Amino acid sequence: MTIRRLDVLLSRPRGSLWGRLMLFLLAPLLVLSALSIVSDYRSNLAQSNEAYDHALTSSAVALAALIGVHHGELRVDLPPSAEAMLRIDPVDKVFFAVFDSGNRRIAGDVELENKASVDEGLNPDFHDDVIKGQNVRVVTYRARGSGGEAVIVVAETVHKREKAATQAATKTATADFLLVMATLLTVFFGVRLALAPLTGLSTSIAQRTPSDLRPLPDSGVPSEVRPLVGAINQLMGNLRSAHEAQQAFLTNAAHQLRTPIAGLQTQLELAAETLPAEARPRMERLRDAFRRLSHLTHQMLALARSSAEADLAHEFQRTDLQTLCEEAASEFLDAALAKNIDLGFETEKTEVQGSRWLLRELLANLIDNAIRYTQEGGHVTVRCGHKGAGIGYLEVEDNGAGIPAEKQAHIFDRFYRADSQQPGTGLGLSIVQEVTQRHSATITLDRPASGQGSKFCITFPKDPATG
Amino acid sequence: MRILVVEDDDTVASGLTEGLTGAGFTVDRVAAAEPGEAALAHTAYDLAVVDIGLPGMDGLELIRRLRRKGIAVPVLVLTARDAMEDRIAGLDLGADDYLTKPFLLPELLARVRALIRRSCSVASSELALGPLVLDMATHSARLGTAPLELTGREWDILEQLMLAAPKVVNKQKLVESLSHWDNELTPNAVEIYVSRLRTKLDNSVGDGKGISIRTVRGIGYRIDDNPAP
Repeated sequence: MTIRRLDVLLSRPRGSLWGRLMLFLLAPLLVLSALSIVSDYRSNLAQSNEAYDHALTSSAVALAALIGVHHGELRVDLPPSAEAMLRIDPVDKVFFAVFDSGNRRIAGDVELENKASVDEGLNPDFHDDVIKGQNVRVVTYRARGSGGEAVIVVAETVHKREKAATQAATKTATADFLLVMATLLTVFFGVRLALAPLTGLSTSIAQRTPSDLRPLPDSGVPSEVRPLVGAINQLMGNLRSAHEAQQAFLTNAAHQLRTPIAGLQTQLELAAETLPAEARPRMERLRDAFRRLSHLTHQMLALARSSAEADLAHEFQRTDLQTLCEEAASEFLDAALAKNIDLGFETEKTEVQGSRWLLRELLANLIDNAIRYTQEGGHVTVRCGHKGAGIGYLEVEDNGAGIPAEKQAHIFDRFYRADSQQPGTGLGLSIVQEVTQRHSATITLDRPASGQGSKFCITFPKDPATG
Repeated sequence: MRILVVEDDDTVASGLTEGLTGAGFTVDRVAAAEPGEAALAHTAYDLAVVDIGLPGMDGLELIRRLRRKGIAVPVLVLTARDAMEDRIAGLDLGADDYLTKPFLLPELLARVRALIRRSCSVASSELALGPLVLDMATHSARLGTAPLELTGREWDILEQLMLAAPKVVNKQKLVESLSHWDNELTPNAVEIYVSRLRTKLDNSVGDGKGISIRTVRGIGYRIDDNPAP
């Protein structure tokens, strides 16, 4: 049963390493100290036995001196005072008896009949026995005198011996107990200290974002844990290359799709011009579907390129948000005019460190959304500037319907569309969020001061170039 | 106006050819950079539409070789790889403008017209946007068949807007490029000139309708020949 439990414990993959350490240290320590207490008790008992045995022998020898020969027979001349001396003991009861060579008791207590040791090799000879249910220590002393051999038996109960041994054992047990406790405390703190690098490691893994697949640093990691870190890093590496392969595929697929879509789109536009008037509505729908298809392809590409796996470092350069805003003005003016929306800009030269292409996508998606979700005749305002030294921001505000509070939590989810009535890929704000993250910037969504519409604001990290 | 299309994808190429032909251009098409280089070396084209992702020599190399030979034909680059956009836009690779696939035909035509407008204003001293024509040599303007009377400043501003179309022109840059050391221009003055230009364009008679100067709040103006909605 116990062995099975131990097996289970040893092979159990879960459970705390800590608990196992404590168990495997505590259990043997307790067994060892129990063994030590028993052995101490026994050795103390032997020691006190030796001392008390000596006293017992003295009594026997003293008795032997009182044996005389009277009419050819052995006699013990024991005055009552001497007997009292012999029997006086505050703790133990003392028995004595003297037997002649014929094993006749010539003096002493009847309880000792047949208690003499039969082994004649040792003199005096000691053994343990029981009298009236009490443990006794018995000494057998054979005295050879002129009247022949006398056998003197003296016995006493073992209370004081046991008491002495128990006292000594208690002392050592206390010491043992303190030692065990001290060991456990040392182990407790020692193990904690020794496992501290593991705790640090697990904290650093736990704090990672799902997309953070960088290898763990193996410096400062104990050598025993290094293989584990190595294995985790190998796994991270595999995951990373799988992600990269996926991103590369997505990027490549989106690129490959572009040329055939371009071909289809131009052919379609040309076909539309030659078709009779009754085919126009169908053609319009087709053209619309193609526009959405090419937009979606572009959005997926933007998403793939702004993903955490994409290698962007070489694209980062000083980028002026004001220039991007001006370019966006040319790009979105027609869309704004089509809805009679007043597209305005409040910009100043704002340089940030970033990828031009991605920042252009970010701005394009924000403006596209603003125009899409703002009613005819509304206003869309794009701003860029500084929120303090070196902290650039980019802001797109509209006075459209706004996004209901309960839907705001989902707007950055891929393919989520807050307003299912409006056409859209549902990827725009995901791209905005990804690009924001790639630039270590933050995005906020507020109500404009007018109380109507939406205001998205991207705040960039402090530009180190401005000091 | 003669345009060379260098594009290996047949569907795109035939669409481009047909679309450009329909817009009144004469179009030749080749499917690779090498014959494209030869054609551009021997024939005086007004514009080349060049796809970057060509088999063999790529479009950028073709442009580099043209420029090295001193062939200054305006080039509109088509690309399916947006990674190229920044290189084309940011670096001086010799391309004059670029479009990312897929594109809309009207967008392509607008870019083509803008490029030709700019290069022709240098070559033939005539700058045209739809029915609006500025004759640089005689310093006279006409809208359709009707002459358009312009002051010096109005002319300057209209020229800048027409050269940039369909892009928005920054008002501050207008002020800077049109200010002379003895004749400062202020943003307010630009607004007044633009409003006068609008009145003149709107009041013109005949087939000259449809030229609009749009205001982009906070940036500037854009001229186009789409009738106002």
